[in-house]
Amino acid sequence: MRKMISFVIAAVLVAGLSGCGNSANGREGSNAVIVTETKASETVADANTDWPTQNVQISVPYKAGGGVDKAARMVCAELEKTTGKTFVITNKPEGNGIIAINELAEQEPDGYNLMVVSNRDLFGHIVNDIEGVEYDKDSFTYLATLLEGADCLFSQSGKFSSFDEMIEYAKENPGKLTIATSNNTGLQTVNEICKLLDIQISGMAYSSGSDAFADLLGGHVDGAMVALSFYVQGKDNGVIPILTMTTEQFPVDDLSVGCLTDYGVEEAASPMFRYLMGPAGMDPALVDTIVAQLDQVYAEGSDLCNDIKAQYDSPHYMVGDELAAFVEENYQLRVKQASSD
Amino acid sequence: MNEIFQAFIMSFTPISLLVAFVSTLIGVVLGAIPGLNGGIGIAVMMPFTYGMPPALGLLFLGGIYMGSSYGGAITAVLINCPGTSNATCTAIEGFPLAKQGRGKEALYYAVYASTAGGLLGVLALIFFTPALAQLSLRFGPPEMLLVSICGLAIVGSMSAGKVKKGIFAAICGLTLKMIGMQASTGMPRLTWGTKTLLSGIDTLPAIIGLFALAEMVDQAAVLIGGGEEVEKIELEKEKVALSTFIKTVSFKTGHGLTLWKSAIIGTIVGILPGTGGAIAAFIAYGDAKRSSKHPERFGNGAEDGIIAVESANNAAVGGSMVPMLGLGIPGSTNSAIMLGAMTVHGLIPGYQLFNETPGIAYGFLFGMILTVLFMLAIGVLGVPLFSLILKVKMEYIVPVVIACCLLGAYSSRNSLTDVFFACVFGVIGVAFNKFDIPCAPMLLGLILGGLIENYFLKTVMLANAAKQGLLIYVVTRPLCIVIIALCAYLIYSNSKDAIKTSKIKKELGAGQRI
Repeated sequence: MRKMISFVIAAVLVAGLSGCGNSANGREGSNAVIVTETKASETVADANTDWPTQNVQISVPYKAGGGVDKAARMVCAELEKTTGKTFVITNKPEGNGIIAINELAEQEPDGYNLMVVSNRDLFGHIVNDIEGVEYDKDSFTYLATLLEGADCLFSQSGKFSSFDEMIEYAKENPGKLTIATSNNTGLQTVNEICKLLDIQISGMAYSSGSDAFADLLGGHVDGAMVALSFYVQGKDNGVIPILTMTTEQFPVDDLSVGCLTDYGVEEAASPMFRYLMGPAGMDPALVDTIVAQLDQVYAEGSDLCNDIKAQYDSPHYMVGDELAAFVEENYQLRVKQASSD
Repeated sequence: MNEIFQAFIMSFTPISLLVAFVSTLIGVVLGAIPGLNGGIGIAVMMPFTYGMPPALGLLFLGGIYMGSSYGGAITAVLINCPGTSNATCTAIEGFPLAKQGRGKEALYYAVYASTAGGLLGVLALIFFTPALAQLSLRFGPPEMLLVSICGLAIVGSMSAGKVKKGIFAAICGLTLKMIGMQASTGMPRLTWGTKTLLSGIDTLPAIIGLFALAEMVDQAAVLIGGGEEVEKIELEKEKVALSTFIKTVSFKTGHGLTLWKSAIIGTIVGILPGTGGAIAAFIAYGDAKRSSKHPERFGNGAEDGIIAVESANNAAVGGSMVPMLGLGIPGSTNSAIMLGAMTVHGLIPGYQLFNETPGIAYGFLFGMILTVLFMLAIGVLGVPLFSLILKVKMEYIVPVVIACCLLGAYSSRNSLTDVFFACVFGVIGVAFNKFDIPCAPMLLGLILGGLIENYFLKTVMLANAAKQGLLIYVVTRPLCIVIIALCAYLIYSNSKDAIKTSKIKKELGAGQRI
C-alpha cells in the first residue's frame, strides 16, 4: 500500500512537472497584449536554409473541414509533392484559435512550426482586445498569402434572394432574423452591420463554418456568414450567397452578389486572406527559401491555382514587400474600424 | 449505371484489394494501441494518399477509420484498456468475460458485431446517402441538445448498479468540461489564470488516464506490492469462432436483435453532426441494457453489451460519412479530415460527386465494403495472435502501455499539457477504482458536456429570436417531441432497470466493480 501511494505521488509529481513545461518556456498567462520586442529582435542566425529537411508542423486554429483547413491542406499537399517532406496539419480550435496562435508566437523561428490563419481573425483578436490574446501584429513572420477568400452571407433562395430583402425583413421583425457565423469575428461583423444599418439581427457564433452552414441548410437559421467556398455545397441545396464582406465585388458564377461597401458599411468590410506565417524572428534567408518553394506551387495555371478557383476563392499570392505593405495596411484598417466603434 | 458497374469491378483489382487490406490493418493496430486512434492515423497517413488516384486515396483513409473503430476492442477486452473512446463500454463487459476465461469469445463477439455494424453503415451510405443527408439536416440545435441529454440518460446503465456514484462521476465530467475558454464568448473559466488550462480538457487524455493508465497503475501496484499474485487470465482452449458467430447472429439467443438494432442506432447517430462512434456506442449500450432480459449481467460480462457497442461504433463510420459525401458537412472529426483529403484530390462532395464523378464515389463506397470484410478476416484470424498478449508478463506490458499512452496523449494536439492531463486523469481513475466509482460516466460527461452547453446556448438564442420561451420553442418542433418522448422513456426504463439490478445484486450478494 505504501509503495502504491509512493508510486501515485511520483506520478503526480511527474505530471506536475510536465504540465509546467509549457509556461516555464513561455510567458505567464496574461490578459494584456504583450509586444514581443525581444523575440522580434532575435533572429536564428544559424538557420538552415535548406528547407525543409524534416517534417513541418502546420497549425490551423480552426476545426477540420472548414475553409482555412481546406486551404491549408490544398497548399500543403502541393508542397509535399515538390519538397518530398511531410507537412503535418494539426487542428487546434480551442479558445477560438487564440491558444494555438499564442503557442505559435512562442515557438522557435526555425521554419518547422508554421500556421495558416485568416487575417480577419488574427487582427480581429488584437484590435478588439480579446481576452487571452498574448500576441500582436509583430509577433509573427508573415511568409505569404495563400489565397483570397470572401466571407459571404448566405441565405436559402426561397427565403431571401437579396440582402435588400433581408434588411427589409429585419426592419419589420427586429431581432427575429437569425444569422449563424463561423466564429466570433463574424459575429462582430454582424453586430457592426446592425449598428450601421440600424437593424436588429440575432447573430450566433458557431465553432466552424461547417456547423453554421449545416444549420442554414437545415433551415434552423435564416442566414449564415461563412466562407464563399461553401457555395460549392450550397448550390445544389437552394442556398445562395447574397452579400460578400469584402471591399469590392467578388465573382460568383453568374450571380450578382453585392458587397458590404455597396451599402455604405465600410467599417465592417475588409479583404480576407489566408496567411502562412511563423513566429517572429525567422531568418530572412530561410523566409526566401520557403517563398521559393511556394513560388513553384503557385505558378500560373498550376493545379493548385485551379483547385483554389474551383472553391470560389482567388489564388491571390503575395510575398515579400507586397505582403509586408498589405499586412501593415490591413492592420491599420482593422485598427481604424475598431476605433470607430 | 455503366460507370457504377465499372467502379464495382475496379474494386476487386489487386491494387484496390491491397489498399483496402493494408489500410484496415493499420487502422486495427492504431485503434488497439491505447492513446492512438483512427484520427491520428488518418491525419498522418493523408499525405501518402496525394499521389494515389482519388478513389484509392479516400479508400486508404476510410480503411483506417473502419479498422480503428474495431481495433479499440482488442485491448479493451484483454487488458481493460480501451484503445479508443468507442470501446469504453466494450472494456466494461469484455474484460470481465476475459477474466472468466472467455476472452477469445469476447474478441469474436467484437469482430462479428463490428463487421455487421460496419456493413450496415456502408450499405446505408451506398443506397441512402441523399435521404439520410437530408435527415441529418433536420437535427438543429434544439434537437441536438435533446439528443445529448438523452446520452446522459444512460449514465444509469453504465454504472452497474452504482447509480449515485455514476451520477457523481458524470457531474465531475460535466464540470471538468467547463474548464478552458468558453466557445461563444471567449471568456476563460476555471483556469485560475494559467495557460495550461486555457485550452480545456480533450477527451483523449481522459480516456487514456481513466482507463489505460489507471489500470496499469493498479496492475503495477500489485506487482510492486508483492505478496499478491497478479490474477492470471486464462483463455479458453476450445475453438469458439463458429459457435460465437452463430450466437451473435441468432435471433433465438436475442443477440441477433441487439446486433442489428445497435447497427441502426449507430448509423443514425453517426449521421448527426458532431457525434461520432463514441456517442453511438454509449447510446447503443444503454439501449441494449434496457431491453435485455438480464440487465443484472451488465458490468459483469454481458455479451449483448459487447455486441451493441461494437456494432454501433462501426455503423457510425458509414453514418458519419453520409453528411460528408452528401453535403460536404463532416459528421465527425475523422470525416472532417477526410473531407480535407477530398478537397486536396479536387473532389466536390454532394450532387457533383455522385453525378459527375460516379466512378470515384462508388469506387470508394464499394471499397469500403472490402474494408469491412478485411476487418472481419483480420479480426477472426488475429484472435489467437491478439490473445498472446495475455501470455506476456504484466511487468512487461505495464511500461509499454504507459509509454504508448503518454505518446498518444501528446500526439493528439502536439501538447505536453495533454500528457499532464492524462496523468491527472490516471490519478483520478485510480482513486475512482479505489472507491468503486465507475469511470465511464465521467468520460460520458466530458464528451457530452461541451455539446450540451453549445447546443443549449444556441437553442436559447433561437428561442429569443423567435420571441418564445425556451420550453415552448422546443416542444413546438415535431422532431423534438419525438426525442423528448424517447428521452423520458429511457430515463424511466433505466431507473426501473437500476432498481431491478440493485435488488437482484442484493439477493445474489454479488458486486463486481467497474
